[in-house]
Amino acid sequence: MTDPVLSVRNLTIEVMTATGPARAVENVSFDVARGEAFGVVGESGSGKSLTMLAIMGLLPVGQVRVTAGEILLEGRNLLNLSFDELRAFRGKQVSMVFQDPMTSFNPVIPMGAQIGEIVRIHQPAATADEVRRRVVDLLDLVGVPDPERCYRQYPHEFSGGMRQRAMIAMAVANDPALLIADEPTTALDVTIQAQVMAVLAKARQRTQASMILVTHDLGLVAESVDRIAVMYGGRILETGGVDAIFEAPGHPYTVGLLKSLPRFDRAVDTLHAIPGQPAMVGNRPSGCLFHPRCGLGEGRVDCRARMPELLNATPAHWVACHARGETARWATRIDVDLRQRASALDRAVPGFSESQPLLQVENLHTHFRVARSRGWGREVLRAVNGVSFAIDRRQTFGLVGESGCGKSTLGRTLLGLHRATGGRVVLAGRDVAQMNRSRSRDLRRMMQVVFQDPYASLDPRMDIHDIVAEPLMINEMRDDARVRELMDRVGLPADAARRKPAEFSGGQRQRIAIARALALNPELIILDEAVSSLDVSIQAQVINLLKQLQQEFGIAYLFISHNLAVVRHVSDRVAVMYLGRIVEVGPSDLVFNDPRHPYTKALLAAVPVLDARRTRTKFVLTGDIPNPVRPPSGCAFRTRCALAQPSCARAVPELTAQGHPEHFAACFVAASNTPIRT
Amino acid sequence: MSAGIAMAMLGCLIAAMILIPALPGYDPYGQNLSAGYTEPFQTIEGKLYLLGADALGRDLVGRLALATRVSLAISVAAVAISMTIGVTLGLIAGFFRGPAETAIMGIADLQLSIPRVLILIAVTAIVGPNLVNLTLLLGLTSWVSYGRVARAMTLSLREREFVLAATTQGASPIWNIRKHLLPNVMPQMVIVGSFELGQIIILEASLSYLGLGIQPPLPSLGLMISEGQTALEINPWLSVLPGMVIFIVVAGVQFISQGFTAEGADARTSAMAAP
Amino acid sequence: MTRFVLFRIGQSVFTVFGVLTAAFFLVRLSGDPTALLLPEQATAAEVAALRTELGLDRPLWLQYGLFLGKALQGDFGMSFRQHSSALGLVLERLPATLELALTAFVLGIGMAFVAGLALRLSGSRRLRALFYWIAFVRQAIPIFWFGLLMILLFSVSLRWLPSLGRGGIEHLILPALTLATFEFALYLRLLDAAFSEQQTQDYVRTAYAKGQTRARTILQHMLPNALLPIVTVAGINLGVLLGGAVVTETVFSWPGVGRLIVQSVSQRDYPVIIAGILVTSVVFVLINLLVDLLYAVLDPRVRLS
Repeated sequence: MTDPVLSVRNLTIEVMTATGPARAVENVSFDVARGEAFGVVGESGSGKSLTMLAIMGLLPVGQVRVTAGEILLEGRNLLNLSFDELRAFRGKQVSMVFQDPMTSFNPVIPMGAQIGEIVRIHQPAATADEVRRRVVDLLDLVGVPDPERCYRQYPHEFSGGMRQRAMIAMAVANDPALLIADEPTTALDVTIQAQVMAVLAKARQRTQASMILVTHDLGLVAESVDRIAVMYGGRILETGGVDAIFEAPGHPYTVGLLKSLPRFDRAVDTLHAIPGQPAMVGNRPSGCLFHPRCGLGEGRVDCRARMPELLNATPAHWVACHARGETARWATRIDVDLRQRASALDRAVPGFSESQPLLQVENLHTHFRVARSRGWGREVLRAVNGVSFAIDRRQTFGLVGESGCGKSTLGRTLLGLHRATGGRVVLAGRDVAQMNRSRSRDLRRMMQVVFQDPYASLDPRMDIHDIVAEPLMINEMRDDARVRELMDRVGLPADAARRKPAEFSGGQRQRIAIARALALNPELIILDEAVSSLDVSIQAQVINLLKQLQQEFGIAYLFISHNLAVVRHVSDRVAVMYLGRIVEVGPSDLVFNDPRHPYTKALLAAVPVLDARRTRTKFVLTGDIPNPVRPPSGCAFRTRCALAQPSCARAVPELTAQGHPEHFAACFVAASNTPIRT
Repeated sequence: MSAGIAMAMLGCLIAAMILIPALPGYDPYGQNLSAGYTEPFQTIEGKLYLLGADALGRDLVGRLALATRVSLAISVAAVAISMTIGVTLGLIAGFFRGPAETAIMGIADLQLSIPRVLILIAVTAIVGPNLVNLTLLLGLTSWVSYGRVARAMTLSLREREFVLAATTQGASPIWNIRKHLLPNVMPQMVIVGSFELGQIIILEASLSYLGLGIQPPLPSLGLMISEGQTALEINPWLSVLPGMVIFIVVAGVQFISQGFTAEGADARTSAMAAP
Repeated sequence: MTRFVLFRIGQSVFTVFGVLTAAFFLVRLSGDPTALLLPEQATAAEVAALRTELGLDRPLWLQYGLFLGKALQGDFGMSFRQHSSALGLVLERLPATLELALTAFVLGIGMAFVAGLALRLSGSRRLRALFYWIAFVRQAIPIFWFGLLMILLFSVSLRWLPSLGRGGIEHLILPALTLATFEFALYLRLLDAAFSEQQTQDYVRTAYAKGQTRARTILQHMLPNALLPIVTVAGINLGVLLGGAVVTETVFSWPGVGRLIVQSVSQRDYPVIIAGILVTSVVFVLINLLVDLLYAVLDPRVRLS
């Protein structure tokens, strides 16, 4: 076995907090072999990004410092190097692809010059022409169309996906030995994510670089790396081959993560939710970091007493758990338990089917007049362009789509936050649009909302009691007992009432937002990406809570999300949107198991799945999502569609039934059910 | 920390301003021609002139105390007026948008397109300089910074999810403004105000120096400097001392303002700690 | 870009028009100027004659129209006190004001950039504290008092430089320094704040990740971005500079527009006041326009849209 490219030994990093220095990363060790793809998985606050920045020598000066350990790159300890010595490594031996392609480029320098810069720094002898040719080659390698023209363009003229391709081009410009990709696709849509991961793989193949892929997305690592390390609270809890770990996880935390993940390749009715809150910096439990949330080690003395060391279960699989021999049996017990809870849930859901749906949306349009990006005047953005669907009482209706598809605008139009340009919204048999302002306001109170951003949804100056009480106060129905009851229902401690939102974590804030949405006893709650910003383990808690509340209060949900697995998990029926229109709608099982629209098929194919061994026809949708202001004529999807015919450009396809009376797709060729070839 | 020191410094000065004129012998208007241009720490006719006397032999301590009180009163009142106008207009412009916003921001831009000193000079020339006019004018011409910040904050706050959620629960615009916008805008307004206070003190002194502010016989710091300038070669203290008072007051206010700003930044970046 | 330029030009024209309108109605508010122009014992007939001559007997909207028409031709009437055109008097003084303001601006912003870059490039906390103290102290001192202290030191005590009037370069030094130090304090803090904001941007981390040196990251990456917010507030600061110039001119008896306006106020010479304010506004609006166009050129996000 050759020497590893990178060897991290006992790395410890301290950050300054309000209460003094605290260890954010503790005693972390791992190796990355030559040519290997290594994944680092963890939720927010796990210390994974800090570890990567430490390797690059890019920790923020003054606030964060390495207090112990070694980082050996090609045998040299990077921590002993001066700034200038380290400079020779950065961008040459080791380079990094950052998370946010929007802000990681300098907005006032042309793209070509920014990529050329990394070449010029490390090859001072290269002439301007050589640098230019190298950059154009690189842009070509990562699949940026028309590299000559893009060379002169500025970052804001690139789409997110194109920027991330350019970032990869920059990272591999000097054939680095190690490439660090820190959440490289988190900011991107799923079809674009698939493109970027393919480009990353290609670039890596070309340069033979080793790679560290840092992500919170278990599916992504399953598909892209050989070995992984699972980090929690600044430590590695488990490391080994990706197949071995996903097959037989050795640490209860890993078990919990895997079981809290909604899967759309496998029907699971209830998610396992790891209880409690993650161990944040400066507030870490003593003993085993994970013991306050652990279901396996409950009651064990040594778990509370000391942090277990990372020991090998098999020669290539290391686990830091006192009870690691019992993990497998415990995992089976969870499965049994989940199945029992799921069947209890099934029995409880009444087979409701009313003749009249709760909400009926007919041919809804929401158009905006936006300033032209070039030239004079304004043009029309058809954010929602003729959408019809219905939601039954007690049902969850899922709405999926990528950015710019109009799903959030649709939700806000229903709430009355945008004015509908056309169409009808009938709520409980009454047309919302035809009422006067105050009557429609009364009706809309039956519809409440939980938004995505847990930080922006709560007024930072109000305390929790006042936030939950606000809907009641607005409607002059002050009722403190009800506020306490609501807080209790969503699992907030009673002493939360007089505290401010800043003291709560993202998951708890969403609970507060849910309590607020419940206050007026709504019939329908619109969940606009309500769990999207949460970590997997917290996400599972909130999803389970939502299901429980639905059962208890008989609420219907409109569940808007870009995350297909989550939508699959929660929805009874689902609609897929693309550029302002619904392209496919039907019962959740049918749409996900037997998708008819090529876009639905592409979306499903683009989502990384845990089951790495499952061979599937992986096909990558080409091109960017078109500008919604100027969508393609006819079928808006035809520009990216593998099945597109010339006729698709001429007319907009209607939703037609697809082999089941409730399953519809809007495609001219879908009916022929031609399999998509890669 | 340094804000504390500044606070103490300002406090001493203000206490001195209030207490000293109450003592006998510090009449700001009492003339004594034989004591004209007395330098500090000199005794004339058995009376100690701690900081000297002006051309008419008026004791400088008494005059400085009164002048500082006048300057501070005018400036604080002007800040209160301009903050009220600015917050109101900024909230209206940011929340209701439309023609109201166009009009309000148009006036703001127009006002910014003439230096504030020139507006004040021109309008004072017309309405005539006196204490009330000066206060009103300073207040009326200084609303723009509050208005712009309040509007910018309102624009972003009104799209924040907690305001949208309240709207879907049936909240009226008045409710949203009262419960959500104002409480979130005001802390920033206090920061702007603490910065503006220093600026207004200097502006008031400048106008009085130009002869367009407070009129004699009422003493004013700017006016005293201007009067002293004619006797620069005889007794420079007549100009230097009032200037030092302005410096101490403005520096103190700036220090406190910086403390506010830093605190504000802290509160924004770090989560609020439990009490 | 064209749209932006045309929009800004339109806005500038509107501003000048607004200033004219405001000036007209303010003067009308002030009452009848005949009392100022005629001796106290003037007869009613004399007053009426003068009112006709000045057009005060016509309807207000007509007076306004005439005023606008004349103003567009550069005619603001004759000075009440000196028998020459108001605009002529102002334009005569304009070069002196521009000389003072421009010298102070270039000097002040030059010093601010040297200091700002020096403290960034050196990364020295002590240097930063020193510059911040200087800026802090300077900003707490009113311009006119600072000018007086300069006179006291360099003219009265040391007798190195003249304290009054305009002439050779030695006359310019004190007033220019008075204003320039003020500009220095202003721009140093702005520049440093802008740099601090850029420091935390992701693209800076990207530059270091490429292996770029500290100096080049500061100069090539951060500086162009740090300039943008400074240019944005340049308009307001220009107003502060011109306002400061008015006061400075009075302290040093510098024969500029500001001093003329202040003198005219005490003489209630309205045509000169209006002409003076209008000329200042036009200069101000023009420079602001240029600065905004500069911003558009500096920021490709504006330039290319």
